[in-house]
Amino acid sequence: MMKRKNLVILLALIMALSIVVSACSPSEEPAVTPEPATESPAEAPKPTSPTGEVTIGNTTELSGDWIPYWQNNAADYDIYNMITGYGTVELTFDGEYVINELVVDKHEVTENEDGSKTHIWTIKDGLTYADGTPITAYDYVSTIMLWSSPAVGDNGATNDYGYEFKGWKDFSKGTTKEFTGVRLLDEMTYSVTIAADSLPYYFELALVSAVPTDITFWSDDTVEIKDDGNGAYFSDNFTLEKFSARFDAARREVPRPSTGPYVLESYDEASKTAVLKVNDKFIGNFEGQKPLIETVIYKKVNQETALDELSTGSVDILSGMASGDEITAGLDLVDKGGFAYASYPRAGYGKLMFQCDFGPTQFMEVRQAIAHLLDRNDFAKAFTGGFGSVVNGPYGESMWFYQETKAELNERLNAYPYSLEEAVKLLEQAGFTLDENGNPYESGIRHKKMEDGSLMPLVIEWASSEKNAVSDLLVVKLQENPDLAAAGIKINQTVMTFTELLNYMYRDATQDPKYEVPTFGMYNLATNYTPRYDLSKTYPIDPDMVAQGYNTNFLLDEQLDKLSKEMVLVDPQDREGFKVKFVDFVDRWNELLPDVPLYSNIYHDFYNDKIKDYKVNNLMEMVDVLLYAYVAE
Amino acid sequence: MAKYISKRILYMIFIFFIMSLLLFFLYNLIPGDPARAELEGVKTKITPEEYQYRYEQARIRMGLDDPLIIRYAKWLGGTLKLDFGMSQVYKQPVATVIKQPMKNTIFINIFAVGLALAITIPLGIYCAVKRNSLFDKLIQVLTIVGYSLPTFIISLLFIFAFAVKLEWFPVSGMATPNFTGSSLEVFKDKLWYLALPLGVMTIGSLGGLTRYIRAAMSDALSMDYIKTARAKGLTEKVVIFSHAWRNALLPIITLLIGWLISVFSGSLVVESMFNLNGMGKFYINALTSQDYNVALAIQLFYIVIALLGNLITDLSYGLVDPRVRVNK
Repeated sequence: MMKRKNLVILLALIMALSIVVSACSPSEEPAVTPEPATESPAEAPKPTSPTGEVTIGNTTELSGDWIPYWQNNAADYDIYNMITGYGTVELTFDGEYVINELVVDKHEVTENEDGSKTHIWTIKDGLTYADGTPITAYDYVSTIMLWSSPAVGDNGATNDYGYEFKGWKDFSKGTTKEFTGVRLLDEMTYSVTIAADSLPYYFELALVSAVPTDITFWSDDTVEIKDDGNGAYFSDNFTLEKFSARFDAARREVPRPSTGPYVLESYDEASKTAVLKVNDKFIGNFEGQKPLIETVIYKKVNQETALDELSTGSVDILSGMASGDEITAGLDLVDKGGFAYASYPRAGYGKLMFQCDFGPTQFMEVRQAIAHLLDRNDFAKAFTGGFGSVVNGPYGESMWFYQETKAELNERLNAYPYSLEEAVKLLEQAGFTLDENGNPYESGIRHKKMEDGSLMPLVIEWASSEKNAVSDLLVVKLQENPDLAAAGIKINQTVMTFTELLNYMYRDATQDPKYEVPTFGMYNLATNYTPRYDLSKTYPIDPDMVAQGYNTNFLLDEQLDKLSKEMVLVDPQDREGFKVKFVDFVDRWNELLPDVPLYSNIYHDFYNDKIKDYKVNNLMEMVDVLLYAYVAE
Repeated sequence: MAKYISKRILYMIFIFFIMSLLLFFLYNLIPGDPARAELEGVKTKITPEEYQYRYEQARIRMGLDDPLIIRYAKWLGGTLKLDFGMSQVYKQPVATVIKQPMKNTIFINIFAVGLALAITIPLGIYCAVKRNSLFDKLIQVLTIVGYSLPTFIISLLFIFAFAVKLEWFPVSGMATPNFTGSSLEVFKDKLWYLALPLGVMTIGSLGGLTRYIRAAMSDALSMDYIKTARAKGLTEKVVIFSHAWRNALLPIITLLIGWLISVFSGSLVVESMFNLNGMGKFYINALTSQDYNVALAIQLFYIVIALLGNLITDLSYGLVDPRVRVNK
């Protein structure tokens, strides 16, 4: 190997001739786009112990910040998940929260007189960190206390771990010493109490989930968490002044305590590459699944050369590829042999977003008419290269509650098929029946007579961010669509930086008074959903929340607000009740149409076919995929 | 000489302050609210009151509520003590996050500049001496091709030929992950990874510099004092290197010092294509992610380097050509 390297280093000195060599390379045959599907390599015997090495390529660069509370990126978060385990609550493949019975010995729930709810957890004996240090209830309490503490909050971290627990507000601001909603009951038992105003809540298990944290890693051996009966509290020496530098160092330190299936063995800051080794003390996830891949390497790849990295063996997995060109090239690679792929729908979509409190987009019929004037199937096909779908409501196709209500939703939801006639009918219903002189409309831009006697032209101001391929396609498919003009609508596009777009969207007067004035009725953006599907703060009508930018659609619909809140105000056991309310909410949303979903990608993961049992969806983390996969060599 | 240097340093300090003021105000004119951006992730989780509280705290922590001139004064005070503030992206001091890309860039550029100069100087001189020969014509064509091809294309061609087809070099990166070995082996491994980007950087720079050196040497070789030297019976080696090269050096020196100073500046295209964690990519990332403290620090650093470079260039003229020596 080294001999070969010596040779090639010497060759680097005579690189000048390379242009001639590379210019003589044969050209590629044009690729044929196949239908999205999943191709699995032939099964191979599963190893009984961890073996092999897998290199994951990600287009997001690791920053080396291994904890999510200071806002690390998606690549860092992958590493965090690989080294963090033993959660009391974990997610199933379908995105449902379940109690991790491998970790939890006993779980009791009591409803209190004040309406609050206490979850008492008894942790199983025998759990350890990767270095063999035993894990007790103290470590679970440490997590909640540390990431709710004013010390980390004042250091710039989001100290909202126990946000829904009793006493969080006072504890997190340093007003009280004790966190009344968190109790350390004995060596293996602790409890958390959800405040009455956060209940009922369908995703209650997500609120009470905790993982272990070694508090001495974030402070020192002198810091203690105690409980005298009024709630857990830190010893007095736990202050920001004393541990600020330690927080900064601990965020990036390698090695670090690990409770997950892997241990972060090394991180090379120069090449932004992390190496993880299997944690042989890890006893499994909620299903008892232990890792079967011994070494995982995580490195940055370029979008332009990612598939080259895969084909040359520099990486073994490329996850979440979305562009049609990349997917087509990837499928070609699979056809050549040696590689496989898995495809899955995105839990989100690209969208047209309306602001619904001014101008023509304040009228529901106008928003619906625009949906009718955009052939969304054609748009999705063009944008995703055939690897995308269209949704008719605020959901992702992989979500369990969508899957289980799909038939009913398909019946109830309007797909807004392409129709000029339907669009014109809706515009007339909305009162856009006049021309610019107030005469009955015949041609040009439609107008509507307002209550004050003025005429409102059907001109929609559209804010789009620069260098955005979706915007470019929208110009062709919507703005320049002859049927749009035939319907009497005009759309004016203004291209701006994404930051400026956000200023307009939030009407952020702190940046400039001009942003406070409602200016743009339409924006093109994207949205993604997590398994904790809670949109209760997305469409509020409360003026204070609207002013703070919670309702970016400025859609002040009492019913939608109520339905979005009611959807999560359901007992966690009431699965059917949640689904009913989800359908009602989506139905109302689909009618009001605050957004028009444009495309939902079909993501593709390409991988070396030495990897077997590669199962993935958009709600899973990379660690969940790796836990079930193995290397057959 | 000392008086001249003192004057120049005073002038540099003045320019630095003007530029820092301009840059700071320009960056602060760009719309954006880092406090809002920081809280975006937790917005739907917390109550409006809690959001407002956190938003105000974040603005205080980031010093966003102070008047612009106060913010400038605070920032400049910190900058003079080499405290450039916090990176909004990395949530770490700017001076800390800038270290690694700077180290990488210097490491890469020392080889790239060394390699380029080692090839272009002899090649330029040889072409000038053998002007209009077949070899000279071939080099002229190749240098024009090299000069005209965008680095992006050269990078893709190199990757396709040497990484994908021939599999001699890795596609990207700076070292073999999980590589263990002696220091020498680690160093060789790094060079193996850097061979392609170094090749691209060298090819990209050969054209301009070779042609520049050739032109300067051709001018020098056509001077009367060269004929005199030859008439005196001096060897061709002495004529070329002691007489022609020294005189050709004057126009080249600006270029060479510029090149040496460029060891601190990264190449955006090459670093992006080969995934090198260097200054070019780091700077662009800072701009695109609106990490303005980082972008400001990098720009100021380059301003200082450029000012120093100008001073060194002017002083070097004196060393090379006694006629322009200051105070003589």
